This record gives sequence, C-alpha cells and structure tokens, in this order.
Amino acid sequence: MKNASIKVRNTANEIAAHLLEANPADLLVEDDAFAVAGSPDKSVTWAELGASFPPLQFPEGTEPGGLNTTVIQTAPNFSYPSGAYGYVVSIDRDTGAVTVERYVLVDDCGTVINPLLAEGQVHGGAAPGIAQALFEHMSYDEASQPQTSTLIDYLVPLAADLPGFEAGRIVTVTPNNTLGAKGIGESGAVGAPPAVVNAAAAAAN
Amino acid sequence: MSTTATSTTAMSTASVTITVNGEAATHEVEPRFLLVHYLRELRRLTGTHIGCDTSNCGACTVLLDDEAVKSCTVLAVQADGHAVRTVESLANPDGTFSAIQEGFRQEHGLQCGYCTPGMLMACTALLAENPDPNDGEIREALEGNLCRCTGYQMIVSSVRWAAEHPDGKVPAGMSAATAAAPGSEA
Repeated sequence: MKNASIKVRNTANEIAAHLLEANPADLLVEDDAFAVAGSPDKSVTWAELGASFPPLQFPEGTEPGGLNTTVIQTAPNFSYPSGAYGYVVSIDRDTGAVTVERYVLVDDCGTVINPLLAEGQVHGGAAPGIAQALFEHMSYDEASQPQTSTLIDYLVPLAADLPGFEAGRIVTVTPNNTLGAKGIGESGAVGAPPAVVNAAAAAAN
Repeated sequence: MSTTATSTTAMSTASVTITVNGEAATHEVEPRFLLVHYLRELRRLTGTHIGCDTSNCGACTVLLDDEAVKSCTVLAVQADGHAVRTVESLANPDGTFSAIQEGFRQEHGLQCGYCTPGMLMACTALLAENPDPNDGEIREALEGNLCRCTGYQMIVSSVRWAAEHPDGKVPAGMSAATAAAPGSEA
C-alpha cells in the first residue's frame, strides 16, 4: 500500500508538472493540489489530475493507466502482532452469572495509519470474544433439534451486555513490510475468551 | 376444487395511504405485506435494511409516528394513515449530515454499515425522548439493535457526540475522523 501510494504520488507529480509546464522536481503537494514551490497561485488538484485526458495531457513516457497502479510485494516473513488483555469480572453468588466490570486491552500492531479505525477493530474483535466466553452457544436437544435458532437465542451480545473498553497501544514496527504495520483485525477475538475465563476462574477462587 | 378456480382467485388487497418522509402515497397491498417490504419495494427506499426478518436484530428500525419500530414486524396495513420516517430523511435539506449521522462519522460508529440505518433511527428516537442520555441509557435504548462489528462502544460515543453537538457542526480542528495523519503514530 505504501509503495503503491508513493508510485501514484510520483506519477501524479510528473503529470502535474507537465500540465503546469514546470520541472517535476520543483513541485510541492499541499492539501489537495500540486503547485510550483514559491508560486501557489497556479496549481493542479488531484481531482483535475484524475479528470485529465491521458493522450493529450500525460507527459511522454507515462505508463499506461496513468494514476492506476498495482504494486505486488512479497514480504520476507509474517508479521507478529502482540497484545495483553486484562479483565475484571464479578460473579453473582446466587445465579453464577458473570459480568465483565472492566476491560483493558493493549495491542501492538506496529505502524497505525488511522488510530480510530484501529481501535474500532480491537473493540469489534473483543465483543464477540467476550460473547464466546460468556454467552454464545449453539445448543441442540436430544433429537438434534437446534434450540438456538435465532440471534437472540444464540445470545449475540447487546450494547447493555458489554462494558466500555479501555484500549491502549504500543508501537513496535515490523521490519517485514515497508509500512511497518502488523495485523489488528483478529486480536480482540483471540485475546478475549481466555482472558475472560481466567478472570472468572480467579473470581471463583 | 378445480385448479382453474384456484389460479383465478386473486389474493385480496387493501388500499393503504402512508406518509413516508413527508410524502403521502396510496398503494394496493396484500394484507400480509410487511412495512419493510413496502418501504423497500414500493417506495424504493432501500436504506432500511432487512437483517433477520424476525425482529431480533433491529436493522429495519424506522420511526412510526416518531416511535422506533422494527418494520419487519409491522404490516403495511397497520401503518395506513400514519407517518413513517426512514434513514433517508435524516440528512439536512442541503445534503449535509444531521447531528446523529455526523456523530457516527466522527466517532467511527459503524464498520460494515449493515445495522447502521436501524441504529441511526433508534438513536434518533432516543435523542428525541432524551436529548442528553448517559452511556448506560444509550446502551439500554439500543437493546433492540444488534451490531456485530463495533462492540457498541463507538456507537455509544457517536450518540454522545450528537448529544453534545445538536447542530451537527464539527468544531474546527476537532475532527477525530480526519485527525489521523499517516506516520503520526510511529
């Protein structure tokens, strides 16, 4: 993604320089437009670049496809995200019901482009992870008739079933891709079930 | 009973006049026709989603006379003479987002988006009744709406954002959704 973005940016810079009749090395990109350094009055926006008609407005030597780019990269190894999750649960002595009181998650997924979206991925994994430990279950009667035939019977968690999440992050960049990013999508779902079970076991003792 | 007689027996229909997002229209519908199908197929308002079709999930939530209902469990004939609001009615007349829509954008209140139309309508009903709900009240109010992506926390904060910014305007420099710059975390 990073390499493709750089390639698109460089191609855009070449086309913008051609349209502005300038030297590509003299261009700056600011906000959403390219302009010659020192004379911001005359500029070319990304939208204008996207709309420019290739045969007439691309400089000689522009690759077919213009701003369309595919970069295929082979990573030398997997990336290994890590994290630590801690829960506080309470157990109702009369019913055995387990309630998650507090939920702290710290993940290391390397370089993060959008922290809000990265945290959303952690929440989105942790919620079904908690539910796997405490709620969700397919059950069948003796005749193999499913007893959990709706989302409500299966106990997909509701907003009121879950706590607020306290999410933190540390950043250890992976050397195995140019962006330094590691996975985040599954971490909540992987970490939550054992953490909930451990907390419940500790509470029961 | 001959097959001819069966095939020529038409299903009886009822005439319904329903005001949807301020526009009234009259249609002939079968009595069994669900409101959600009426909205999607006859009014062509496909923003209202069908999730479970069994009133479990809330994806089809719309406002019926300003009350949040699951439109897969309401018959079109039951809405005859009433007013329905769908997600298509939420944006301001100039096309900008309403407070609750902007809240979902700012606070990342959706991921796949399937539950979002229903969530937005349930939240709209909540904020009309309680303009300043706390987190617990929001979670309780959304009990009828399932989300499998977000874990709900950012939906809760989206509603809080809307409550704190009732005009839906994003204060300058305060956009969480656009604040993240590449490399800023490294």
